[in-house]
Amino acid sequence: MKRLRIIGIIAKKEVTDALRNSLFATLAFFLLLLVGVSILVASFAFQSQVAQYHAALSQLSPDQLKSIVLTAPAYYPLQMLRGTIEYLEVIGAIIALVLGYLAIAKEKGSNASRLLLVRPVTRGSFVGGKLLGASIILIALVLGIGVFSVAAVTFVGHVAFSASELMKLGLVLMYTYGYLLFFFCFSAALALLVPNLPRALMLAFSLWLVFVLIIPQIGDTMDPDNQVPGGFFAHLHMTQDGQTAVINQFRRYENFRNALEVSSVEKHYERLTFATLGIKTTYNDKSLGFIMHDKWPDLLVLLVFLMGSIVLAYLSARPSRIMAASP
Amino acid sequence: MSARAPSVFASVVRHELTTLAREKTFLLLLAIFMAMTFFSVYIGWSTRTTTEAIYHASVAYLAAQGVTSIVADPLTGVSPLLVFDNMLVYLLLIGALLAIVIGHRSFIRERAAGVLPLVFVRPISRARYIGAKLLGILLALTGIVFATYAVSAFSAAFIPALRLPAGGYAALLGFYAVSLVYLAFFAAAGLFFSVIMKNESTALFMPILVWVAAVFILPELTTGQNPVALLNPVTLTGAIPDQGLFFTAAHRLLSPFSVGQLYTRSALGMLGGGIGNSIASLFALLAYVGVAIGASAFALRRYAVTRDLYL
Repeated sequence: MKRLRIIGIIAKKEVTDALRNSLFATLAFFLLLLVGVSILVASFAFQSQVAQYHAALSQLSPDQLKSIVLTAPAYYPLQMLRGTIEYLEVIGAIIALVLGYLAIAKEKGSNASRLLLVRPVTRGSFVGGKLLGASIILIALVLGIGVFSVAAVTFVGHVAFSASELMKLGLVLMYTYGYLLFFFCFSAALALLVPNLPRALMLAFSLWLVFVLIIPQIGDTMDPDNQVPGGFFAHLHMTQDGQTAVINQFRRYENFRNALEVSSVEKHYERLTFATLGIKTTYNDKSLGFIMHDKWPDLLVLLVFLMGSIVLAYLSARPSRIMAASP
Repeated sequence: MSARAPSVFASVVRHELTTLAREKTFLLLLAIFMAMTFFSVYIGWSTRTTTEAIYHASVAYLAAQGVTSIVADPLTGVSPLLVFDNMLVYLLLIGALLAIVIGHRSFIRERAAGVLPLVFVRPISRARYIGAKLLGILLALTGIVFATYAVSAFSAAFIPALRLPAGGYAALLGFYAVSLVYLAFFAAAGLFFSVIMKNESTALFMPILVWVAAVFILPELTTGQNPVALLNPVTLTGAIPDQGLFFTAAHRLLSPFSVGQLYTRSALGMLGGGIGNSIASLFALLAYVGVAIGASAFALRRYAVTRDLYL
C-alpha cells in the first residue's frame, strides 16, 4: 500500500512537471497542428482524385463508357490518417524521447534525487512511478490526437465513423501508446546510463534517426516496386501473381531487404497500424480477426521491444546513477 | 595591439575545429554519416542492378504468358549518377542534424563554460569573433563534405561494374558543393537558436523543428504527398502529380520557403535527375543561407556576454 502511494506521488510529480514544461507543451501543440494539416492535405488529395475521376468520365463518350471501366475513388475515413501515423512515428517518437530524457535529467545528480532516495523508495517504485506518470501523459496525448482526428475527419469528410472503424482506431491508439512508451523508456535509460546528460540526449536522437528514419528508408528505397514513380510492376501492367512469381526469383535480395526493415521498431508499428486502418489496401474493410491473423507477429515484436525497454530502464535505475551529477 | 588581432582570430577558428574534434556526440554522428556514405553507393548500385534483372525476369514471365506488347525498361535513360541519390536522403537527415549539432555546440559550449567574458577581454572585436566563429563552422562543414565526396568516390571505385559517365566525378563534386550550402543553412540555424534561447535543450529543439518543417511538413503541403515522401529518392525524381486547386495554391505560396525541396531540386540537377529549375533553386538556397548567417551574426553581436552569469 505504501509502495503504491509512493508510485502515485512520483507519477503525480511527473504529470505536473510535464504540464509546466513549455518544451513539451510546444511539441505536443506542434504534433496536434501537424495531425490537422495531414488530415486536411489527405482530404484535398482525395477531392482531387474525385475531380480527376469526374473529368475523365466527362471526356468519355457513351460508347467508350461501355468498354472502359473507371473505378470511382472510394472514401474510407481511416485512410485519411496515413499522415497522422507518419507524424506519430517521427514527431511522436521525438516527444517521447524528450519526456524520457526530462524525467531523468531534471533530477539526476540534484539534491532532490538525494532527498528522494533517503526515503524508502525502491528501484521498482521509482521506475514504476516514472512509468505511470509517462503513461498518463502519453495516453492523454494519444487520446487527444484520437479525438481530434475523429473530429477533423468527420468535419472535413462529412462522413461519420462506424463502430468498427472506431474500434480499429482505438486499437491503433493503443499501439501508438506502446510505441511512444518504448521511446520514453529507451531515452530515460540512456539518460541514466550515459554520465553526460546532453550527450545522452544526442545519443538518443542519433539512435532515433537510425532506427526511425534511416533503416526504414533503406528498406523502402531497395524495394524494386519503388524504383519507378507509380510503381515498377504497375508500369509493366503485371498482375499480383506475376509479381509474386518474379519476386520469388530474387528471394535473397528480398530477405535482406525485409531483414533490414524488421530490425526497426518503427516498421513493425507502421505495418500494424497501416493494416488496422486499411491504409494497406489488402486489409481495407477487413475484420480485425483477419488483420490480426496476419499481423500478430508485428504486435508481438512491438511488445518485445516495449518490454525490453522497460527492463532496460529498470536495470539502469541504480541509485548511484540517479545521484551521479552530469559532468 | 591591432597587430595581435589576426592571431586571436586564428585562435578562435582553430579552437572551433579542435573542440569540435573532441565532441563525442559529433564524432558519433559523423561516424554514422560516413558509414552510410560508404554503403549508400553499394545500396544504390545493388538496387539498380536488381531492378534491371527483375525487369528482364518480368519480360520473360509476360512473354511466357503470351503478352506481346511489353513496355520498355523504365530505367533506360536514367542517369547512372543517380546510384548516389541515397546520399541526398542521408544529407537531408543525418547531414542536417550533424550541421545543427555543429552550429549549436559552437556557441553553447562557450556559454556553458562561462568563458565569453574572458574571450572579450582579449584583443578581438565582436565582429572579428563572429567572423572567426562562422569561418570555423564553415571550415568544419567543408571538411566533412569533402571527406564525404572522397568516401563516395572511393566506394564507387570498389564496384568495378559501376561505370560513371565522363565528368561523373565532377558532377558528384557539384552535388556535394550544393549539399554544403544546405548544411550551412542548418549550421547557421543551430548557431542562431543557441544564441537567442536561454535553455540549452530548447536551443537544440528549435532548429530541429525548423528541420522537421523543411523536410516533412512543407513538402507535404506543397505536393500533397505523404510526410515522409521526401525520403524516397524515386519520389523526388518523379513528376509531382496535378493535385488540384489547394495544392496548386500551396505550391505557389509555400514552395519558395521549402528549403528541403530547394535542396533536393538543385542537388538532383547535379546528378542528372532534374526536377524543375535547379539553378534557381540553388540561388534561393544561397539566399536562405545568407539570411541565416546574417541572423546568427546579428544575434551574436547583440548578445550580452554576462547574461548567463546570473542565471
